[in-house]
Amino acid sequence: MTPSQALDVYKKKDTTKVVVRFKAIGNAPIMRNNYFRITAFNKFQAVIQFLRKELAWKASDALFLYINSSFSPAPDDTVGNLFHCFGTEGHLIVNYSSTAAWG
Amino acid sequence: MSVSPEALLFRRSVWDSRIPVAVTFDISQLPPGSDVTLDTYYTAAPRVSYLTLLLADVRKYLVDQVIEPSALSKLSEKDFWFECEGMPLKWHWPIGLLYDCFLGSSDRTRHVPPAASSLDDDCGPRAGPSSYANLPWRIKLHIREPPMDKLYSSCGLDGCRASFMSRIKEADFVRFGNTKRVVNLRRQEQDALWDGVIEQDFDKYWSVAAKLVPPPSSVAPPISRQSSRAPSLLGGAGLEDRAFLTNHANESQTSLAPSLASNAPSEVPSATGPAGANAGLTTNANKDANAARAVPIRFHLPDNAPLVQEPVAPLLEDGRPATLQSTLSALFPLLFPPPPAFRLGTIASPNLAYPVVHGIVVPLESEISWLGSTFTSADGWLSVVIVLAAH
Repeated sequence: MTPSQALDVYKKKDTTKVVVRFKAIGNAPIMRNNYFRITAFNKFQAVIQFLRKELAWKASDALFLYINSSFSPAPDDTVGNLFHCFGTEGHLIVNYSSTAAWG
Repeated sequence: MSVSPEALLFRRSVWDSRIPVAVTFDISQLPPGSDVTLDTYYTAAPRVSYLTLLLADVRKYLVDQVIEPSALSKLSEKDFWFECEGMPLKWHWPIGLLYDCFLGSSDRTRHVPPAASSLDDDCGPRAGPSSYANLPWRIKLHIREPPMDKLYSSCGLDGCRASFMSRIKEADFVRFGNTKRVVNLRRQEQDALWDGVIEQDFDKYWSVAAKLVPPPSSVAPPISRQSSRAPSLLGGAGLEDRAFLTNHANESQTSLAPSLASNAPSEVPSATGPAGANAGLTTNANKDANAARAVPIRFHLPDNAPLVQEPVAPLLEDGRPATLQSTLSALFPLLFPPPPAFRLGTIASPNLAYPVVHGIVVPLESEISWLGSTFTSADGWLSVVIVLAAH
């Protein structure tokens, strides 16, 4: 096996599912269904876009997302990596707010 | 919390290392009337810094000199972005990591085979002439249409600071399962972390970061290698020399490293100083790097393979320290075949890649917790760039 062939194996996308649990903070609207299964290779950017759509958020309105009530992941982090590092009880907990909540 | 002089020297070397950067324009994008007689801005960019922090000087010494004031007024700094050989450069990654990823992904690196210097060569990894051919690092400034789908963030200082603080908190969470250490910092202390990066002030940054990043464990096998290596990395060559070792290849990591790691008795006393030197630690014995839940570590594979971010516990199940070899073999067994069980006559399969941290080919027997304590970037994360070996 050449180095490139070995690398190709690790280029495969992680298609496992991660359960994302959304939690509203402050006066952000509460979602009726707040559990979603998202494929691990998706970037966090996709989660942001998904949530904006679910909440019917206007493009001009601010929306802040946090993990574990403490930090905002980089939009290019994958859901799978975030779950591996910050998952709790089988979920990735994502808090959302219309104002900045944690600096 | 006291840290051994050796650990401190490594932290400082990481902090002080710089990359010569040459910033140019794509001339075809310049507005009419631009004066291209001055077309390049040179700087020595700190590895732990961010492109956003270079922008003010790039603006002053390049953009404002080249572009006419009337055309300049129509430009927005928010649209500025950097690129290298077609790759947009992320604002939220440290400059050193961007450079290592660029070299790690470029074909030219792969054709430089790892040199077979012995582990006992006390000169340590050195940059071969070929690596200097890549310097200064030539990056291009674009002044419009940032590709947000590849950059993911814009160049603003506030955004860069927020992203930096989030990485710091993430690292705290990975180490201890919560972000209490960061949250409990006073406002001025939190500011000192970011201001330390802006001002390149080692003492300002580490006076606070030392509360977050635990010192290396005082039980540190295989110490004979580490201690002989430390002076070689730190002495002699200038900072720049040390910062660009990416192309150079490592030593015979393939065969020796695993056996070293596996043979190392965990009771070997630290060579980082007599027990007395670590007296401050004894009361905080549960707070050294081996006591953390995991080490914040990211693996950057070349050629757009997905980045891997996996919490790595400092100790293996049998109590031995986790090493780069044990970690890489667990995560990427095809690139880093696990060493065979010890039997006379068994030969380890060669590794097909090597790990680079801050431009240095790091020996595979290095302990993860030691690296996580001394080789982290300012954001608290240890970024390991995987470079494919020549084939």
